[in-house]
Amino acid sequence: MSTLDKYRKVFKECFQYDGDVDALEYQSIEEWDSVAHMQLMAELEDEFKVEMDIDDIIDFSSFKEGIKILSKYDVEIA
Amino acid sequence: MILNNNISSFKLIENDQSYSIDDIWKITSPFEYIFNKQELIILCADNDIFSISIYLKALKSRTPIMLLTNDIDPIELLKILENFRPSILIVNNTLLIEASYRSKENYENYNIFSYATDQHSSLPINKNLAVLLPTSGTTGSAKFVRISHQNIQSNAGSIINYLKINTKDMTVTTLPMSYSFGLSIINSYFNAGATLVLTNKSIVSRDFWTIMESNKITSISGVPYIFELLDKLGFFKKCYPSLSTITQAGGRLKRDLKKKILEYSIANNIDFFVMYGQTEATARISYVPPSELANKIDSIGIPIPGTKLNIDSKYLNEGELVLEGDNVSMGYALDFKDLHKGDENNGRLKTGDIGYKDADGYFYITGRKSRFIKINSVRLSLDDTEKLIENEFEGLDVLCTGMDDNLLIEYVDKINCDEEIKIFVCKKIKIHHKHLKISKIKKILRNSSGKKMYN
Repeated sequence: MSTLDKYRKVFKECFQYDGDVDALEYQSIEEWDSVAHMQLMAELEDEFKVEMDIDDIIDFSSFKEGIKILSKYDVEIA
Repeated sequence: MILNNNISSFKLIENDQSYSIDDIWKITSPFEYIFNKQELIILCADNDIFSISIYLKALKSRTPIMLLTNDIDPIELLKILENFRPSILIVNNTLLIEASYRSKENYENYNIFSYATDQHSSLPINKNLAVLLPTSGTTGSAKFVRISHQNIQSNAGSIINYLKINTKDMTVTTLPMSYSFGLSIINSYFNAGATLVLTNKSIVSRDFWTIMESNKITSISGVPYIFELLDKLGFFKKCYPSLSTITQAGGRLKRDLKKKILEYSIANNIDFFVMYGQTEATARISYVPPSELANKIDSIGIPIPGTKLNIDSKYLNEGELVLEGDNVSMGYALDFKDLHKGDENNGRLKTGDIGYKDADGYFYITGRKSRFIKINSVRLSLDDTEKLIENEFEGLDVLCTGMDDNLLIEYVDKINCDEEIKIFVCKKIKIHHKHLKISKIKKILRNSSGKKMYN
């Protein structure tokens, strides 16, 4: 499984979401609320073995933005 | 409780713009027709200037108002419209409902619908009714608490008294207006002539932190999950020199976190108030004086000024907490026919919570009498949840139990439908699946009258 597939899987499972996760933004769907956001952060940290900075957690505003943020932790999503 | 009238100092701040009380009345002045003492307004509120202005004007003009969340399910809203027959509905313009209105007006992102009302002629709305607040979450049992003007004044006055809210205080909105705790912050800050910074953004967004950093916020309030989020976001590692008060209600905070916040508060000269309340009591029932929290870490505290709390039990120390005070609501409403009713409680409320009082007069809660739990501080009726699932999945026999933030669904069926139930419940009740546990069981025990037996 590529890291992109793993990344997508975390989103799909966390939100129980079948649609296009690539387009997702924080609060763009009901499922991605503040509680789910922290859950998502925890699951991504687990999956990619990183510990994210508070500022990065707050700025993690979308699926695409998240890819940029994870690259700061040397995680290549592709 | 006599309120010192400092309303003239009240300010709302939104997007760095400050609104005085006069500005607030100016905002509502084009909509005078909405405010008619005899008719009901339904407001699907958000923490923005328009919602709050409408609410304050409704109170001032003694026009009864029902507060709902702005993300309400349109089907639920339609049921409420049919049951309560308001003359006005104010709702976000992205919500589409099919109901024949008499006229429609638009203001920014809101639609204001007017409906023909010829239904109240024989049953006028009680003149003491100020606000209708929802009780249970989204399980379709739309039961509302009837809160009077006196309830609001009394609870606000009491809260201002023990929290010592004054004109120099500034807080930021973290809770919905339709939630009694959130509304009590608006009511108390309004009457204290303090300042309320408005935001719809959650604490997990950049905007919230910008507000914290660029305003002299003196107080922050939240329910347990908000403090859990704040903790994960490193709030208790930072220092906000202007912060002098932290208030918590909406359920029991985990002891470790409570202790952490207490340590943080002591180190930063902050008063940390742990509180307890219910919508049926307008909002607040009791609080722990900050200086006593270390010794009373699991307590819900002492009754707020002007009220009494008792344990209703003849023989044992433990029993149901019963409240007496002017903050006790008038009763419930299921439809428009209930709106003419007066005070059915006469200042006395059986809370449905079980507990005891210690030698110092501090109260503790040990259990809950009624069949509901709270998920992220939102009340969820276990019986209604069972019915909801059984209606959706024919032939299924369901048992719902659990504790706060943990719903357990057990069901009896030939086939395994864990996944389908999970998807349905999460979507319908709008909870995250981490709060859910589902399992198939062989049989549900029933007593001799055929009622399900819960352990």
